[in-house]
Amino acid sequence: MSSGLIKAMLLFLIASGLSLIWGMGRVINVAHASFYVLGAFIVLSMMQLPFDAAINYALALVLAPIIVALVAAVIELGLLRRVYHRGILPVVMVTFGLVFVFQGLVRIIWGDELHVVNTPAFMRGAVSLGVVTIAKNQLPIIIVAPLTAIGIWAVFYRTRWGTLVRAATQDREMLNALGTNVPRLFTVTFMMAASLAALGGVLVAPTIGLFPAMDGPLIVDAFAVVVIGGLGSILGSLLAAIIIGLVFAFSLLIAPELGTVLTFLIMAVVLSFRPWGLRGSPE
Amino acid sequence: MLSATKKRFAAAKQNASWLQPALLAGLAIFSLIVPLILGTFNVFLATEILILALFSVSFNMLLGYTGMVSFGQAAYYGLGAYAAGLFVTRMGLPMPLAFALAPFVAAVGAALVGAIAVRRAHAYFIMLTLAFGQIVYAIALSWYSVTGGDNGLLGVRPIPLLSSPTNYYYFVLVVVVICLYAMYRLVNSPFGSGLKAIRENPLRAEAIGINVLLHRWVIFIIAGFFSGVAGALLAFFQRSIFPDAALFTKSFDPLVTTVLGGVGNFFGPVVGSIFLVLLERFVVRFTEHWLLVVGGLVIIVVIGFSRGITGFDISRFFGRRR
Repeated sequence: MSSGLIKAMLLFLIASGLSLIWGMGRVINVAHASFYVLGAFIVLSMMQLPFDAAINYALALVLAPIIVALVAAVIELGLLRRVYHRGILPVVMVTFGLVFVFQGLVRIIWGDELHVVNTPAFMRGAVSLGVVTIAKNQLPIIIVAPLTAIGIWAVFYRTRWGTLVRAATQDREMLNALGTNVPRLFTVTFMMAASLAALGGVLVAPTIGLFPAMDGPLIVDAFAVVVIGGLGSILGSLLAAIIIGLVFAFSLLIAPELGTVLTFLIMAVVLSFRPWGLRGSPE
Repeated sequence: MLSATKKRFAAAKQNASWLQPALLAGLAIFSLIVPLILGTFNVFLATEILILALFSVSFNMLLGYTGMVSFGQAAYYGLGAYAAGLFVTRMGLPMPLAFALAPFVAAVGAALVGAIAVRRAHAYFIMLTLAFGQIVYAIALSWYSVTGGDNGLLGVRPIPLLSSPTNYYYFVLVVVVICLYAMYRLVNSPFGSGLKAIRENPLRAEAIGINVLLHRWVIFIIAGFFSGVAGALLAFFQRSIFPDAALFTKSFDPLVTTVLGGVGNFFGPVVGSIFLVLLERFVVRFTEHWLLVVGGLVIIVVIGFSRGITGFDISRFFGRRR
């Protein structure tokens, strides 16, 4: 049960960003999960710092999303901006190329083997909460991910910036005409989406083994979530992530091999009845 | 001045009109004598190029001719490979029968996925094909008792006649040429004209009476079929199959060869395949980071040389951003 929730939270952190940058900029970022990998590996390196392990982890929690956001800014300004005007295929090609570039760079920097993060002392062992027992290394994601979801909601529905982003998903050109610098707004959105993915990486890093190609399964699941939830809808991503997470947990109990297949069966069923996803709108 | 430019354009056009058949003829003759003049290693290399070329051309029927960006083509490649392998190893069918049946398994897979995916354009289509494409990989990886999981499916032997590298090369050559000819005829048929009309403007195509969804579905199945042929060729070439054949990164290969070679040219992906395989052999001598190189190369080509090697603009079909 808790593993399903964790998967749901991670998927939400990845998929909400994907959905957001699609909704606003019509960009499909195949390399989105690479930001997650980068976040996780930054944790691995920062745990080597000469401070207490808990402090190291806290530092990584703050710094990794910032570092990744800067990397994302370089990519958006330096590469993606050059191809937007040429339609969807060049954009997807560039981000697909980035998947391999990132994987190669991670291999060069951190090596090809399976890494395990040095967890701080407070993350070892398990804690019992009455009915469920939770491994302590799962605490970061269980605590921080819901807070982040609330944070995302607050930013989008309670700040002027969030209102502008939502306006841009509705009608970019009109917003541009009204005097907002939409390209700059998109750069910031792209950075934010990337830092959410990195945050996902930081949060699950203590619970899994890290390897350079770990973005593959996740990006595919995230695409399934985005499609089920409806492109451009953050609430849709949340709903779909929870559904997929629960199905995953359920399949672990019955037939672990079927988890991935079930995900796509759900996708097929949802799309047969609502081709634009749970919360998306017809084109 | 102006007429001089015009003349030069006309000359260039004329050049191009004899250049391509000449190149093709040269390539055909060369491919026939490869085993005679080059060593075994290069025969393997040439076989690899042929299989990739077939895979890429089948993919380009979707991308170049119909304007559909399939991101999960490896699923049908993997399906063809696994079907061929399982027929031979688990069901004990003779190799020719297994080889003949495997592409139909891939086509059925494509028909199922296509029934949902082709109804959606652009972004949804990309994500749906990508996500559904992973099913084959997931099954191949986790169904240990049947597929052998990541240990792979071993002992996929061709018949004794085809077991020498040279004979198998000629077998692949014949199959690939037949498939390319079939696809060439297809895209130059009235059905192919319908596809091009859909690529240029789906709404207008619908308005003049072309059944857009049916065309998209049929070409998706046909592309899946020929990707399956390529997969079956691979299975007996490697004599084993691993789940990687269906991994979504494998779907990147035909995309790269097509974009390198040029989307709008039937033989563009073939040129791209030759280039990609040779480049890989060359690069791996110097570095183990081949994927990094090919990823960087794709980014550079897409941003810097939008027309590919054979000079066709990939953006032409995909509209401007709204």
